[in-house]
Amino acid sequence: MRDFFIYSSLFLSGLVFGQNTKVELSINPVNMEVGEVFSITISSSVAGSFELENLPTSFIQDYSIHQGSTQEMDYNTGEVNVLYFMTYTGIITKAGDYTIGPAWVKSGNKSYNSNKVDVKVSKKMTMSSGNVTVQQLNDPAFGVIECNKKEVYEGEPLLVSAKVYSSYDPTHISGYQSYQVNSTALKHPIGNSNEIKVLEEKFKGKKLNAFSYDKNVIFPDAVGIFQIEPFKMNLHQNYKSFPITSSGLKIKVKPLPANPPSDFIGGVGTFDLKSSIESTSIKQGDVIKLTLTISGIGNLHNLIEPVLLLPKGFVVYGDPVPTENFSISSKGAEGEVSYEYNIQITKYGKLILPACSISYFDPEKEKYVQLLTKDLEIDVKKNASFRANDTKTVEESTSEMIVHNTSIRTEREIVKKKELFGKPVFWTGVGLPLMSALLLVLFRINRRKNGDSIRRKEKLRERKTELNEQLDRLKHLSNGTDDDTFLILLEQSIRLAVAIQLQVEDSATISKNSILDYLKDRKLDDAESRVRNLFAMAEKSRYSFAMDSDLNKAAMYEELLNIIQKIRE
Amino acid sequence: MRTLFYIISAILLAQSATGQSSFELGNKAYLDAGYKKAISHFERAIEDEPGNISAYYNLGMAHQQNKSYGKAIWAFEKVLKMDPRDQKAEEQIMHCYFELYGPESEWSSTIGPVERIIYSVSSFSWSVTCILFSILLATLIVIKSYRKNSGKRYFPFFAVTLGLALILSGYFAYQSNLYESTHSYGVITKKKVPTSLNDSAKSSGPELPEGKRLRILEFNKDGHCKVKDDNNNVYIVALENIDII
Repeated sequence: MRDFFIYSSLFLSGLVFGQNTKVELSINPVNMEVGEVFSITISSSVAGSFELENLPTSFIQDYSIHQGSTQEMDYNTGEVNVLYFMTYTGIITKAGDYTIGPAWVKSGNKSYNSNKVDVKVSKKMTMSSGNVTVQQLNDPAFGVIECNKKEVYEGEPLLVSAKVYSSYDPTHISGYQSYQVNSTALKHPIGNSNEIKVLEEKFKGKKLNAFSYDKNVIFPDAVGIFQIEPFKMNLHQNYKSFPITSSGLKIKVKPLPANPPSDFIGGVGTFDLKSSIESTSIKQGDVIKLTLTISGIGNLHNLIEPVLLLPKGFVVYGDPVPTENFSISSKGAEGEVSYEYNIQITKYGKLILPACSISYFDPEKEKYVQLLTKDLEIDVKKNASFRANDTKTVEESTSEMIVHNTSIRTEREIVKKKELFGKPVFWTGVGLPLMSALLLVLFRINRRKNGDSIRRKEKLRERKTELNEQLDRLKHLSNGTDDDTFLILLEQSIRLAVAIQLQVEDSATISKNSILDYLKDRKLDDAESRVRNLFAMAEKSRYSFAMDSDLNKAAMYEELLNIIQKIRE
Repeated sequence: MRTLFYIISAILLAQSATGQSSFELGNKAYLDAGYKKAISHFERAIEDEPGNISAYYNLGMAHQQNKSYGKAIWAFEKVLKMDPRDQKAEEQIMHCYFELYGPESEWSSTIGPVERIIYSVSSFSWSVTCILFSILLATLIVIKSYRKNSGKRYFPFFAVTLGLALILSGYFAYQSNLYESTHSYGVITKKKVPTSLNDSAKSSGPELPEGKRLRILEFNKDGHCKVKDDNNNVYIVALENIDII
């Protein structure tokens, strides 16, 4: 049978009294050994065909299938609910953790799914049995008491079962009287005691039919010899039966080593410890819940609550509230137990709730093992309305040990004192860049100004050259016949000479009046009258109807030179 | 030559094998619950390295274990003086206050949260920052003088920002320097310390409890100092009873 199988069931139609569709998958037990018979039950509030997914490949199903329906009355509503179910049994032949399910119920066109169930299959425990006499071996059937250990520590779980061997194929048993123990220790049944799986085994060289029955986990509660009294039963093969009385068994229960740690909680097995707080940011005076969770396998049901050792400022109120979530398997109680502590914080600031510790006894290592949680950091804000007097009374009535986070620093952290502020280096560092920048800006402004001056000088030089060229040309024209050009150039030369003196770029903008005013300002009256005469002579020659043939250009040129000389002075 | 090399190597090896620092010796003594021994080692470590913040912290822890809460508070205050953001030191001071004065006791830092951030950066770092801003501002001015027409819109913004940053970092450097170099607080390190209300020894004041932090107003020449408590009461205390932070 592979990943899934389909069983269809046809049920008689019945009345369904308005109930909600509910499909549930349950497996009993969820912790088992390889080859141990377990049952799978699918129950549904609707009729239909049942299917189950995710069965392990190592699952072997028995032939027995129980199916049917039950009616339950809901006393709150008065409604009668019909519950359809199917139960079958089987074994898993390979150790491991498996998730079985979900189961499906198909009703008409609709399908309803169930929950999934996690199962844990551990390796088959090696069992040893009590002595068997020669007579028993010769009998058609005989029984022995099997046990996983011959010596256990006080508190360590002990797996005990009734084992029956027969030379014939048994059909059923009757008149079973269970084995008894000589103490008040309770027997915790393991697996399906009603289910018997007969297998062929070799016992002292003989091939026999064998089955285990009435498997229990027992936690011996007293040190010394633990006596298990024989069991009795009638083993049938159809109508024939054979009475069996098994041999008894003695187990040695050893005491735990002396001087257990102060935080020993009575645990024998293998455990783990975790702690958590509901909030890490609270107000002074608030109460927080600290949860310590002990998980593992062993005598979880017999643990003593851990005692908290807290520093001042943490006050434990009342006894812790335990929450048990474990099941008894062939290895002992497996699961977890949580203890919830109510702690009032009377200090404020960033506080460390110190690590909690427990110790247990590990029978495999044969020594005590200590478990430690982590420090928890809590940010407690100051509460002005919190009255310390209230806590004092509580603190006085609470026995607590002063524990404080006293860890020191192992890494050397050096703060090197280097002084810079106010030193010459500092002022130089701050001042020098700014001063340099300002000097550079000033230098650039100055340079720009000097550039303008040089340009002006060059221009002046150019114009002086221009004036000299004009004078040379005039000299040449004074001997020629081109009177108009001579007269124009003559006027231009005077303008240019004054423009040079006034540092005016465009000489054309200088009018005759400006020239005269300039000469007047310079108190060059003689030059002024000579310029006026020269301009008059030039105008007369230029605008007279007939050109003055007596125009003395050479004299005018000489006059011009004298005037320019005066202006230059 | 080779012989000399071997001799020097042997000396160095021998030193490294045996030469544990006072800090390490203090840590070892502390872990062995030899708190008095640890105190003397940590004090020597501080003498060797005055900036060893871990030695101050561990000294505080050793004093705390030795029930000398006043001295422990002083050591943790020194840690805070060197690193104002050391939360563990604050927690330890609060614990000392709790031990000395009970759950209602309150401790607060001498500086506000903003100052704490400013002072956690050393005066040296602020000074370097100030110099950097000066260089940046100068660079900006030079760039602007060369590229007259570009970035006209952003230049005033950057110039003002850099100028402000320069002034602020300079101010922080000044404040940090003042904080680092002045010793304006002290802690009472003895059980009950007598005080006087003025310079005349006749007018005796109240006894100050161990661990109390006081602001030092001035040091007198006769081995006393004028201090002020949180309620602005002024006392004269002998310098031997107060440890300067």
